[in-house]
Formats: sequence, structure tokens, C-alpha cells
Amino acid sequence: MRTCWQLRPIWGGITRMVEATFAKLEEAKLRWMSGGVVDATGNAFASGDTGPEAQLRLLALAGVFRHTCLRPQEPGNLKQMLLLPEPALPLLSEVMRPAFRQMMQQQDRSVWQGLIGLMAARGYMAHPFDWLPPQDLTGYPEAYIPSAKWKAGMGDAKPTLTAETWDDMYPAERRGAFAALRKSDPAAARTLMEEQGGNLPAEERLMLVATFSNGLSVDDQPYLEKLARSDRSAKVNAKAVGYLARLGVVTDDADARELADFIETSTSGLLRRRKAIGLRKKLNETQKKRAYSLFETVTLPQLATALSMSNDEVAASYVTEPRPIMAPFFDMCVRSAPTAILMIYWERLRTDGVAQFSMLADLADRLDRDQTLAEVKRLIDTGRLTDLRDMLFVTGADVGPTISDALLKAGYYKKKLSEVEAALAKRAKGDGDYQSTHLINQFEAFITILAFLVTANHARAILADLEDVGFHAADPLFRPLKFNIDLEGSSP
Amino acid sequence: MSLTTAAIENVAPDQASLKAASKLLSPAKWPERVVSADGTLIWGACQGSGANPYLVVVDLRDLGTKCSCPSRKFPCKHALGLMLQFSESAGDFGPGDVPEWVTDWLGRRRKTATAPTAASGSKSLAAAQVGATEPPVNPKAEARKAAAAVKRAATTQTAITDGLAEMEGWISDQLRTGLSELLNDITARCRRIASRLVDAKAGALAERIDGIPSRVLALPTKDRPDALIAELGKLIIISRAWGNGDAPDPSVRRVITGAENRDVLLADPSSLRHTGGWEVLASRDETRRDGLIARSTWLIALNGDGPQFALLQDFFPASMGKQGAAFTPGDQFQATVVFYASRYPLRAQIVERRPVEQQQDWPEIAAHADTLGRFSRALVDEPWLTELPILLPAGRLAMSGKSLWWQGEDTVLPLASERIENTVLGAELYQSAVLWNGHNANLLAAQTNLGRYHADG
Repeated sequence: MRTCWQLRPIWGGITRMVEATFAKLEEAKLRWMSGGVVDATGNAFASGDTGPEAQLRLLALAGVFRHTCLRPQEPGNLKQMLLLPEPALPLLSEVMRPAFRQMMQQQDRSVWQGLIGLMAARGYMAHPFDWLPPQDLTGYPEAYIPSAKWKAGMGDAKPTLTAETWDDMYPAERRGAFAALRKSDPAAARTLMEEQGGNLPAEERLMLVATFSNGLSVDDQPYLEKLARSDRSAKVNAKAVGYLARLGVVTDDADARELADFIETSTSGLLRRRKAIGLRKKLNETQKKRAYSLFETVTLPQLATALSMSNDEVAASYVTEPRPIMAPFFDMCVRSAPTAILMIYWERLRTDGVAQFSMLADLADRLDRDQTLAEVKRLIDTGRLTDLRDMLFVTGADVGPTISDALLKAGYYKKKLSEVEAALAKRAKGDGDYQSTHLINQFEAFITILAFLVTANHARAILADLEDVGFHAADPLFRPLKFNIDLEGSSP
Repeated sequence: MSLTTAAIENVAPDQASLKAASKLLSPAKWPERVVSADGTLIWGACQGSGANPYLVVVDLRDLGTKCSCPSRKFPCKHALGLMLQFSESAGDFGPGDVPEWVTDWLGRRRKTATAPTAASGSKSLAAAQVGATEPPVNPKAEARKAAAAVKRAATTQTAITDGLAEMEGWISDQLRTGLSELLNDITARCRRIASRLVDAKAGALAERIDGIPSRVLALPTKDRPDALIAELGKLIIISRAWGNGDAPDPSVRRVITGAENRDVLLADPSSLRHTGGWEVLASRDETRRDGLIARSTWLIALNGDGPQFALLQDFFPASMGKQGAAFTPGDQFQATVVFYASRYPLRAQIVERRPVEQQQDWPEIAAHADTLGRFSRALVDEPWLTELPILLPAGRLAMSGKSLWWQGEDTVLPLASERIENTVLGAELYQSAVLWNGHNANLLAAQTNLGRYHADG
């Protein structure tokens, strides 16, 4: 768009002369653009000269005329955005903002979610000049919903979830409100879903149906059967079938019988022989693939019926060999087993040392926060911690003193420290190779996530450990740990 | 951690570096010398010939160093100078928290560097310090040098006058053949006349002309004719202000030949000095045609009745890669600033700087002032100015289609939007500092209902 300019009447009585000059210079501009000589006769500034000299004098006048006598004119369609919403939590203090921006430069969603989560857990929000949440708020605290709505051009109103306000709400906001409604009044949530859910995209529909885990009851059965039968999304169908199975609705199923044919019974244990079931050892690749795909649709009660066993018996005797053997069965249990049955199999996986944090994430919506943290501690204590990102995904940031203690006592942490100490010593001697550099870089990523999980006191302990193994106290590796410590005593 | 002279001699690249370092031992050249709490790192700021001091750090554990100077020697004289001072009087180094730029360097170093090795050759600090003594003054030689300088100045004056006459002729030709044609071939045509001006020893003016294409072409197409006319018109004014070069205004000379160096400026007792609180508004780099990067650091005065803004300018070769900035937007400090002679003082050098005890607000301005009146008045004094920082009163940012505007109570300004983040559109701006170039405003920083905003982060 071209900027329009208007004369500013700053010189009172000589305004007419300025207007005349403006008109003359606009005329001159047209002539100069196409090339040629402007008639400078009568122009005071050209002072009677003619030829090139008059042109240059006029050009010099034109050079400063616009900047002194004109002002930009307001375009007709100027529009201001809504003001940013009042922050739901105190904003991060000014002194900590540079460190925050520095860490957010890492193009890593785990780092973003960990850092934002740690701040929210300690009662702070990012300054909107430094960061605004993405459109998909999954993994970020609800305190950012107003900012996300502002970014999407929506107002700051906080409507109550009803059929009338359903379409006006920001998806993350509606999701949160729906989950809360499902907890407090499952029937009202179901009715709302029946009325409005059909218009949502499949992913959004799936997320709302997933909240039916809360207060799941036989009252939900008709709606779930309708979803299982006729929803457009296969994932929603499967989710509904899983919930029906958890409600004990068992239907005869040819697929379950086919899957049962792939399963054999054997015994295991030297002294205490016990029954074990699992996929037949001699399946060829095509049969294995078919079996795995059947696990995605068959429910645990259906399989138990086809095997002429009870749910408990199947969960207590299916093999726990590491991935990929147990994974499809575990996924089937997550989808369709009642919680008590699922926990039987989970207990066996943990006891046999094959349970992983990524699997615990699938259990999380069946457990409350304390139960989840108890499982997390058990996994750490039994040496099953192999990736902090998986743990962060399960627990969120700031896991409290008990888990922080466990983390720092874990062999995983000690091993990482000794490895990096050796790599640093190697570098100090001048024979650092690619492997040691790579190891140190990986350690940096490890410490970053660890810093989001532990308490400020534990962050201090880690700082001391890092200095002991040879890092300088000013190393950027310390930044997230110092951030954690500073956040504890930060005043906005 | 102690540091011996022998160890410094060992890592010095050559005898010349030691000699140069021994000339940097005056504390006056070091506004900042700090040692970390654990005694393993020392860092400081060394005032070189530019407006920004060089930032130097030494890791005492292995004498690894980093300096923001352009030297290709490693370690450079500034790092050696810092080491020498620490070895001689470690007590002069104050304790301090490790700044971010040192932390960043440690991180990069951990990933790439290996321990520095001793440089070969025999080097001696004692010999360097003997050699540093100034030779006795020879009056005849001095007189010869002065005469040669006068002769050189006369030759330069003639060359510039001739060059400016040629520039005027070139502008007349452009008017005659049409500015539309010039716009179609603006880069090549400006380059040709700029080359001629380099030959005529008008290097700064040549650089200004070389910058015309980027300044004009950055504007919307329909605004370009006005911008081009303004650029050419101001060139004519510069030429006429020079005349035959007998008594040019100091700022005209600076626009044509470049600024006098720091030592000359500081030695001039008539230079305007202003002591008070300052805040860094922005620090921006611009790559020039001649391969240099021009770094402009804009300061706002927080108190006093001196100039409202100061501009620190430095130049370094683009081939050196990205250089750490000595100032961070939002930094506040107390400083004595000395301005280059001008009827509208702006470009300056910092003589002395020290930390502030308390953060200050920007000076208040009247809500209904003619916001662009300051620029208009400045043009009366120095009509060749291309841009000027301006403090705007309360307002909001607003959109008109895809273009961005600042909207005050009774004034609007079009904004150059490439550095502005959308979030500022949702803030109330209590005051805004912008660079106004007559066509659009470039937002540097603002005080908002959500705190300070700096367009450069």
C-alpha cells in the first residue's frame, strides 16, 4: 500500500505558499520520472536560474520538502488488535527472561514443554513477548489458553460449556471444559457429545471420547455401541469397542477366534511350573503380521472367550518377553481391559524387568497422580529408566523430592556422569574424538530434561556433581539447572 | 589461579604481539576487568579504536582465549594484555558473575576446541617492554610530516570538489534521461558514480550512494520516486554545503570523507560531553557493499538536558563472521559520552562507563507533541540527515491490510515491519523509540503495559 501524505499547516500564514510548492514539486516529480526539464520560472528557490542549475536547486528543495512539510495520512482501514489477555499467572521476572529465551531457541518440543511446565509448576508464565503457545496446546498448561485464543484472534471471554457455546470455544479450552464436565457430570457430558461431537474433526472427537475413561459406566453403553458401529473414524470405533469391553460387553468375534488360533499354551519356570500363553513360535512372517493386526481390533474379553479362559487368567499367563512379543498384547489390554486386569499384566511386566516409561504413559489415564508417581519410582528403582523424555512425558515437570531423590540415586544418572567424566578427561588431554564430543552433547540434552524434572535442591546437587566431573561453573550446560534454582526464589 | 609471565610468553604468537600487548597495560584502557568466583576465568572490556569496546576472556586453566577484535593472531594483543595485567596485579580484577557471552563461549569451546599449544619462536616480555619506549622526537622530521599532511589535505580537497562536481553532473543526467530509467538500473548506476567518488577520496559519500538502492527498493513501489528524489536532493545539498571545501561544516566533512578517529575526537576540548544514565535501545548490523559490517548501537539518555539519543558506530570486515556485541538491548549504565561536532549531535563515543545502581525509566514526553517535528527541525540544521531516532508518545500498533502502523492520539506513522513480532500488536505502548527516515519508522524499543519491548530481543 502506498503511504498517503498530507500537508501539515505548521506555518500559519504561509500555508498557501507551501501548498503551491507542493503542487509544483508533484508536477516536477512527474516530469523528472519520465525525463526532461521542469519549468522553474517563478520558483523562489531556483532564484531565477535556468538550465541544469535550476533543476538541481529545485531537486534540493524537493529533497527536504516532504520530510519537513508533510505528514503521513491515516489510512481509512486502520485496525488495532485486541489487547493481550491478563496473564493467568505472574510473568517470569525480567532477569530470568534472557535465560528463558536462550533455552527456547532449541527446536525441541520436549524442551519447550518441560520448561513451560516447570515454570507453571512453580507458578509462573512466560512473557508473551518471549513466547506464545502453539495452536495445539497439547502438553502445555491451561494457563496459556487465553494467549492461544488471542493469537487465534478470539476474545478473552470464558464461556461455560453448553450446546450454545460449544462452537465459540477454543479447542483446547473446550477439551479442558469437557474433561471437567465428564468428571463432575458424566451423563451431561455424554449428552453434549451426542449432540455436538459429530461435527468435530476425527482427532478432536477421539480426544473427547478418550475422556469417557472418567466415570465409565453402563449408561454409556448405547452411545459407545453407536460409535463402535457407525463413527466415521476407525480410531474412534476402536476406542469405543475398547470401552465396551471394559464394561464387560463381550461379543462373539471371528477375529478373536482367528487370533486364538495363533496362540499356544506352554509351561514356564523350573521349580514352579506355570502356564504361559503366547504367539506360536513357528509362525511365519505373514502370520505374525496378521496376528499383530488382529491384536489392534480384538478386545481382551473377546480373546479370553476364544481361549476359554478368564480375563485374569489371560493377563496372568501371557508371556512378558520384551518387544515386540508383548507389545501388541499390552496395547490390547490398554485399549480394552478393565483397569484391574491391565494392572495384573503391568505388574508382571515390571517384575520381569521389561516395563518401560513409554508404556506407563499409556496407563496414565487409568491412574491418579500419586499412583503414577509410585509406578515411576518403582521403574527408576528397578533400573528401567532409559530415556528422561519418556519420563517427562508421563510425569510432567517438577516431580517433587521423592522422585528427584530416586533420579539422582539411579544407576542411569551415575553411569551418565562417569561416561561424561571420561569424555571430558579425554578432551582435556587433547585426544577428544568424535565419540566423546557426541557423548558430551548428548549429556547436555540429558541434563536439560533432568533440570525440568527435579526440585531446586536437587538441581543444586546436580550442579555440584557436574563441577566434580570437570565442567566449569559457567558452562552453558548449567543454564537450565540454574534456571530451576532461580525460579524457586524468583519474584515477578 | 596464578599466571606467570613465562606462561604468557609461551602462548604469545610472536614478539610483535607481546610488544603490542605491553602498550595496553594502562587501566584507563580497561573499563572492566573481572575474575570469576572460582578464579579460573578472567574477562574484561578493552577500549580500542572503535565505539564499542572489545570483549576479552581468558580461561586460566589452559589459557584459551576469545576476543571480539578483528585480529587474526591468536591469542590477540588484547587477550595477552589482559593476561599480563592479571599476572602483575590480580588484585585489580574485581569479582563478578560470569556474563552470558562468556558462558556461550565456554559452551562453544567445549564442543570444538582443544587445548592451545605453545607458539614457536623465542619471545620475551622484557624485550617487548624495552621496545615499547617511544623514540625521541626529531623536529625536522616532524616538520616534514606536517608539511606533507598539509599538501595531502589540499590534494584531497581538490579531488573531493572535482568529484562532487562530477556527481552533480551525474544527477543532472539522471533527471534529463528520467528517474524511471534510474530506478530500473539503480544498483549499477549508483555503483558507477560511487566508484568515482571513492577515487575522489569521498569514501563516506560513496558508501551513502551505494546504499541508495537498498533504501529505496525496500519501500513500496509507489513510494520509491519520492524516496529517490529525497536521496538525490540531499546529495545536491551536501555538495553545495561543501562548496570548494575551504570551510565545510564538520558534519558535512564527515558525511563526505568519514568520521575522525576516536583519539582525535577525545583530544578535542570543544567536543560536547554528556554524563548521565543511558539505555541501549538496539544494536544492528548492516553489511555494506565494501565488505564491511556497520554496527550501529542506539542509546537513549535517561536524564540530563543533553542530547536525547546517541549513536555508536563501528565497522569490521564481514569475513570475520558474526561478532559478539558489546551491548545488549535494555542494558543501562552511567557513562560520559562525547559527541562528534555537529549542529545536531548524535554520533558519539563512550569515554567512560560504569554500572547503574538502579534501573531508570525513559524521560517523559508530552502527549500531543508534533512527533515528527523533531525530524523537521533537525533537517533545518542538517538537511542531509537520512534518519533520526524519535521518541513517540502513547499509542498502539495497528494494521492496514498487510502494512503495519503506529497510531497515536493525533498522529500515525507507517512502520517497517520486518523485525516486529505480532505480540506487540496486543500491547499498549506507553512510549516508543523509532528510527524515522522520512518514509517509515523502524521500531527499536518500547515501554508497554507488559514491560520493556526490544525489537532486537
